[in-house]
Amino acid sequence: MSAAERAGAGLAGYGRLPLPGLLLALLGGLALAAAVVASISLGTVFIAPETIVAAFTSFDGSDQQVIVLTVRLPRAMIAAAVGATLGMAGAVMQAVSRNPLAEPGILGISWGAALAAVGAQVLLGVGSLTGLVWCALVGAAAAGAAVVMLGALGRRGLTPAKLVVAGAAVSALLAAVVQGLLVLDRESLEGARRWLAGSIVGTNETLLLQVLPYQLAGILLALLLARPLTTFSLGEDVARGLGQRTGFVKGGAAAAVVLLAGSAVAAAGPVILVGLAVPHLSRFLFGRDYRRVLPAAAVLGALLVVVADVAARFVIPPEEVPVGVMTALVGGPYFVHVVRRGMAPL
Amino acid sequence: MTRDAVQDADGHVTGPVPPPPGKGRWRAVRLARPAVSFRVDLRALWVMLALGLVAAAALVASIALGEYPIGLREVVRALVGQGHPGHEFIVMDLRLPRAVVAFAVGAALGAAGAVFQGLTRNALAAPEIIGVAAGANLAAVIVIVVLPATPIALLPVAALAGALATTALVYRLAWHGGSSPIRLILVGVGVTLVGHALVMAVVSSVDEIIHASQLVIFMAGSVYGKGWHELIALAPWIIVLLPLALGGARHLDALRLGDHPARGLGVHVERQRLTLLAIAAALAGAAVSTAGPVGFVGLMAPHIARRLVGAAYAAALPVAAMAGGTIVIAADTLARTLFAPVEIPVGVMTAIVGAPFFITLLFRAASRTPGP
Amino acid sequence: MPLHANDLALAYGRDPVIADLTVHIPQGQVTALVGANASGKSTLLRGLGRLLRPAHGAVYLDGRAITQMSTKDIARRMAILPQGPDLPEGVTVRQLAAHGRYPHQGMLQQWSHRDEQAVADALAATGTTALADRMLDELSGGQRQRAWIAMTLAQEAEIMLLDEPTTFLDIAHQVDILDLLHELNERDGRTIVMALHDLNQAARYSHRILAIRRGRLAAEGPPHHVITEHVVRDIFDLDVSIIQDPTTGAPLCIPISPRAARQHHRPATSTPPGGRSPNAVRQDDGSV
Repeated sequence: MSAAERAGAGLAGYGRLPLPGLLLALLGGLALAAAVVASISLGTVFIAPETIVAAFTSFDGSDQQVIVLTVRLPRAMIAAAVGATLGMAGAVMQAVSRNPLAEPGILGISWGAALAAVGAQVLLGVGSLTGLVWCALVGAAAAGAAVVMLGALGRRGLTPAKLVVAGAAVSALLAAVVQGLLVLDRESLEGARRWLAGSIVGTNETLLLQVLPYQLAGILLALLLARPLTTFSLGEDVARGLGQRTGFVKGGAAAAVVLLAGSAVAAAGPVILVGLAVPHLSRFLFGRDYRRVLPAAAVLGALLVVVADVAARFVIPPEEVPVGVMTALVGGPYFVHVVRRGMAPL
Repeated sequence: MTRDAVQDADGHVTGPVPPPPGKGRWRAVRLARPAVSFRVDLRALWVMLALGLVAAAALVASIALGEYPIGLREVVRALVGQGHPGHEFIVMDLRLPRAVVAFAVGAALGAAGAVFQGLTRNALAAPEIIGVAAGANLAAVIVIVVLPATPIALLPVAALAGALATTALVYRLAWHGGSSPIRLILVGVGVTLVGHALVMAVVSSVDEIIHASQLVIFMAGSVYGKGWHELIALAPWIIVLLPLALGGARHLDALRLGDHPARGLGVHVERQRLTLLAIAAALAGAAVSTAGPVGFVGLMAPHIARRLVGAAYAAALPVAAMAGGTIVIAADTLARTLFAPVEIPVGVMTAIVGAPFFITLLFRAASRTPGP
Repeated sequence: MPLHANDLALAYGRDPVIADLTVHIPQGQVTALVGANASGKSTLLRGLGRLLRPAHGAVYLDGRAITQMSTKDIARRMAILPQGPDLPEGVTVRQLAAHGRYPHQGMLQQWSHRDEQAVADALAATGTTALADRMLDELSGGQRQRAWIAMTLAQEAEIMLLDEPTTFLDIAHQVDILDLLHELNERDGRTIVMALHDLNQAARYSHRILAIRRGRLAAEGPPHHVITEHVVRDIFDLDVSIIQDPTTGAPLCIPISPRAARQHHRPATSTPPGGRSPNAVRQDDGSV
């Protein structure tokens, strides 16, 4: 067992589950499907599963069926898409930085996207959805580039812990500027405050269709990088010794993270800490091969956010808790747990 | 010994030119009875004096400038009670207390930041990163939204309680058969993440946009409208805690050597760490409760101090406090006058100033060899 | 016997490392703790220096259990230099040495004449006077180690505990540091206890050797008694032949090659690579 493998196993805690991958994939798919059905059916109005099926097979224009198609289904889809992309973004970031605490929310990428979107709204008056999505992507790219550069610079100087603290400081800085902007412009505050908490309430298929291309591009790019990332995750020097052109891998990974995290933030605001536990669980289930870990992270991430979104409706009814708060409440304790156990570098 | 000495004599000096011999820098002050002895860092003394002058200049500027500018002579007259009644009102009741509050807030944040950075051995530790600010925010936000009947005077109390409770939580969670600098700061980061999410949840859930905007202004950090009342509430904390922090600098310096060497020297590592953490949290909490989390002061001030007088906190801590106060007065003056009549919160100003500072810092830290 | 341990048991969490060990540290002598990786020699040193609380048993300093003493009192009698200490940023050699005065200082007494003199003496004794105002991070490993030793000297403690003071140093600096410690013992009569991983250095520089094997005392006595083929095989699972050091007369062990060891049907050393001290410690000290 190499040092890197040991670290991976140590991270998972118990080594690897011996269940065959196919069975696991099947279970994951079923769980996700069940969660999506639950997400469509549960809420202030309960909708029976047969009504959901009927909405697709024999649409009759009834209120319930309209709710299914125009409100609940897009929302479940957005939740799934956001979760899948954030889960994958976290997995890619952890593989590249070999840092078990790397995650878009922790390293400031989410807030980069949020700042750019809010800034464009307040300062430049950008109002169109496409414009905001692009701004979020640019913001994520800027913050992501900074983090990757820091990681690259700090091969020796910057330990995983320091990178996390640097990311937290970046986040604090960006959040301070966002708040400053919102102080200046009350109208934007009204529009942005729900979004800034990480919320998918009231999203519709227009938004989904806007961000979907970027999400798909990010997912595709990440999957293409899966094999090189597996090699890279052994360490950059090792990867280079094996003949890998590590610059391409890092650049590609950065682009994938920007697309994945940026589009997720554009859709739902900074939903944080999804990309932390999900890749850990994926590696625990599937080992260190990112050809399996990445799809698993997508499915588990989707599952996490969909379930969190369903739970968010029942915490303080009739109010809904923003889904970003739910993921933070789940992810925060996990983060602390990882820190307490002592994180081995990946 | 000879090997190293020879190497040195050959002029084989790596790194920057060594600082001038320490003999000239320190003066021992000793009394036989009572048995008192101190070492005074002359450089720190000069730096303090110079910073004090800058702070005084910033204070005067802060009083003179504004929507209604007042000439320097008039400022002085009003300060000694000989001025035009209108001027006297503006100077004595509006601008002077506000400037003094700004200084006190900055000094508290600067000193707290220095302690946090020393304790965690991480140059990026600051109240807004280690969880203190998030706790204060959350408590304040909950009071404003959930208990709107609470008198506004209780807001600082709630914020302070939130800051202290959060620090206690961070310390408790970082405890794993002993606390450790690295766990303290990382747990702080985690607690901040969750706290911030909760704050945003509350902000997003309030029905009244007025409330939301009040919250956002608090969270941005502002000394708008602060007067003698706020100063009187804040002063006792500063007067008690700042000397305590200065007294703890000796232990902080020993802790910086690492837990084991410090323990070998007879430092009660856990006890001193908890004490210093509590002092810094209370300082930061008092500042945040008065003015909201004025960002990046707790990050910048200690850095400036270390650049000026070196890394030993016995000297750097008072300088950090002075630098913090100066920064906030200057930033507040800018925030009031730059886009007049629109006033931006001082926290936004410090964030704007802090951003480039911070980015430079990050890259310097990243490109350097490992260190604390 | 100013320092001794009685029935001492030390553990990291639930992992016992040292079990029921009784040792006496002779006054005014150099004692070396030797043993294989993870044998517990560093742990024992930490236990003696109250960096680790005993699971049971006790360490006694001048007849008093150190758990009953104030940590500053201990620091005035006994200095400890942990292994590979962190590199504090922006600290000069003089400042580091001045930290050694911590146990002698209080709220009001922060820089007495005695403090000043002790720091000057410590710098002179370690040959770091010329480097006094240099930053620690611009010094070589050997110079840095001297600066740390200056700190423990400034403590003016009669007993000095050092955990592998020569790790990470090249051979010339190793000899340099050990010569310095030897001199401190000869000239000032300080009691020195050090964990060493090099048997030959232990044999050459100490009056007395404690050999630790799996948390127990395997042998103790003057170098000639302890550094024998039998004891070395016992504690390191390694076949050696012992010759006399031509310069000092101390025993010198020459490892017999592994191939020869295999011919004797003896398993190779069983300690894992890289596990110099127990995992719990490594993790706490900053693998992050």
